[in-house]
Amino acid sequence: MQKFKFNGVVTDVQRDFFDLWGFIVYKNILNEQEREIIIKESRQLTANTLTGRIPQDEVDDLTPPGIDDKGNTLLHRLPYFTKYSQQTKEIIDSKNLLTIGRSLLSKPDAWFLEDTMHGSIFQSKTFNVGSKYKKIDWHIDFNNDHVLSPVVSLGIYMDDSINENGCLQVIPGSHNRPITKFVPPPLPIEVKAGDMICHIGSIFHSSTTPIVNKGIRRTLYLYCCGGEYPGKGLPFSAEAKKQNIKKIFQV
Amino acid sequence: MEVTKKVKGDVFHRLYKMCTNNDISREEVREFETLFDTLFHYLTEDEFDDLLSVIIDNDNSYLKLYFIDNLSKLKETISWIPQFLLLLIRDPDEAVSIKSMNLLEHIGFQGLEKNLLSEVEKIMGGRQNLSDNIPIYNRRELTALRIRNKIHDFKNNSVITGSERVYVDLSNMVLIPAGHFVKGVEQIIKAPIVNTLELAYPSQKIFLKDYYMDKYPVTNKEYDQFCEAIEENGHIWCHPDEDCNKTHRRSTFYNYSALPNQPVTGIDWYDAYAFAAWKGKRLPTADQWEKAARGINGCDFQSEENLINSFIHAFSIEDFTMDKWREILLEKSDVLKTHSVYEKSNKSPFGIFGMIGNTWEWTRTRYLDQKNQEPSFRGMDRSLIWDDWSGWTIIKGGSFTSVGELLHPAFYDKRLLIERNIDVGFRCVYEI
Repeated sequence: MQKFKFNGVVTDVQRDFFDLWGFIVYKNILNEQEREIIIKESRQLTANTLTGRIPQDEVDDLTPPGIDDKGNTLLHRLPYFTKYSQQTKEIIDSKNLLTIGRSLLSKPDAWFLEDTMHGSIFQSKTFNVGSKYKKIDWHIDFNNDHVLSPVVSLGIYMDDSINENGCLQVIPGSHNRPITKFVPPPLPIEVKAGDMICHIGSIFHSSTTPIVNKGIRRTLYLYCCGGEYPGKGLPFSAEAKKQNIKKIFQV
Repeated sequence: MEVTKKVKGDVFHRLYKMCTNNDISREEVREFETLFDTLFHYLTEDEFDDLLSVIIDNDNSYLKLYFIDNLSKLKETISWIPQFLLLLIRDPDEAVSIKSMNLLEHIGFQGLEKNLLSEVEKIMGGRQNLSDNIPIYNRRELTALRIRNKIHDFKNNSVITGSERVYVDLSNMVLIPAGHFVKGVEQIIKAPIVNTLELAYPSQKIFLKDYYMDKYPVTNKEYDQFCEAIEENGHIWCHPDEDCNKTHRRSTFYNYSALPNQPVTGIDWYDAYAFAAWKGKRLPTADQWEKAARGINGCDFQSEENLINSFIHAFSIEDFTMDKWREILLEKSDVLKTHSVYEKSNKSPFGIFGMIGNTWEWTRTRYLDQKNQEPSFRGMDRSLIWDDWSGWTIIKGGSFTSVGELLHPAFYDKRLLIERNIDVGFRCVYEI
């Protein structure tokens, strides 16, 4: 699969690719050192969350805590990540990732979700017995009617993501048409640590079924929104919808 | 419990209705299970046939999984369970597909080896279990691989077509020896005519085994001979996914501009596949095509600076500007503008003619993930195939309609495998 290089500007070829298929892969967005910084901040935020230093309405309520390979408590989703992780925010700014989001959406005023609706999310999937989140079922992130839409999700991978450990898979082009009885086959997208997958919020996607029983796969998700800013501190979704949303996070 | 005829009729009717309901809820599925468990001893073979026939088209995987779990107790009543399972292997739901394969393996698939092999190969999509790469499969592919190994009698590049071995004529073919080659471009061209080569950037070194490639593209004359062979022998060389009784006649057959020695066009991917199989050959992969066109060092015929002009000279057009090209195209757009494959033409470092321009050429590589094209569209409405990313196939080489970097041998474009265009032809390879 073609993987692109970001040289500061989203090219016409890249934009066309994204418009047609609903996703695009950029190689080598982060180096090893930068990933280490982000992972370290994720550990810090986990510790702060577990010791009650993060307000309850900014703690994930979609997946229960799991246990990692070393027996430690693991929070699979850390919302509002860039709000509490200054170095991560600086790295993101230095990489000019907002430009990517704005160009892919063709929305020069698009903005990063940070202080509302869960903001940016650091996600950890593990595959051991203690895991409470191994794979995610088919879904779309934001339909076209959502207040934040159009949204492009920028997923930056801290670890290699392959078929065996439940990598992202999409139905290319599904953002441009409704899902009917016929569903094209999924396309798994395998990437190396440091790569970034950008996908439009309305593309149909899930993760492959992992077949490993140990290890971890961590991703930082930034959401670049072309819609209106809805206001600070809003919940991720309405309570009525939350139960349905929880079902897609699978063990 | 004794069941009266009326009660049985009512319950069967209820079961049938549930099987046709695509929006059946979980509670209704549980109700179905209860009713079926009670009633299945009393159902006739015809009634089972009716239920199974509609369940295949139902969207609900729980219902299908329930049936699969209970099929073994119906084995004595229904003779076509293996065929039923064969159809469910194609189900988009992974669990249904895997269970069907497992059960079919368990109850036996004698007499269905060829069909089963075709289905599992579609699932695997040509993915190779290379010894120096991590074998990466999802569960569905793992199951398909196990069954394929069990069947044991298939090789990807077999020259057995139909029911007999075909002698492959290598006289007009060129050997491309095994080895590495540079795929893609090392730099993006500054000030391009058509900005497309980013798709081929950056370059990478790829190893290919040796193979033979046709020196010239397939001509109209050769292709028409193939059509006569189809008339005589039937569709014995065709892809198993091809629609029943598909016509292979090229769409340019009545176009008097399409002379015998010009490259065949107006043919879709299935047509090209079948022709290649008739000859005991295959369509090239995109990598095989590119290596044959560029040599091993990424040679673009001449230096990078003269690249575009070299291709333009292949058409004997001088001082070619974008405006001139547009003018010609608009003026002569209804005229087929290919030229004979035997006219003096560009020659690749391996001695293969006419790879650049004239017509695009089909490959057997899928566009988006660059794996082998393994179509699964038989019987599908054409409009749905347009929406399916896996139908888009790489074409290489540019055509008489192309300009600038579209003609670069590293560039790759796409066409839907059912399209029949006047600017797409093909040539074949024989893999040793």
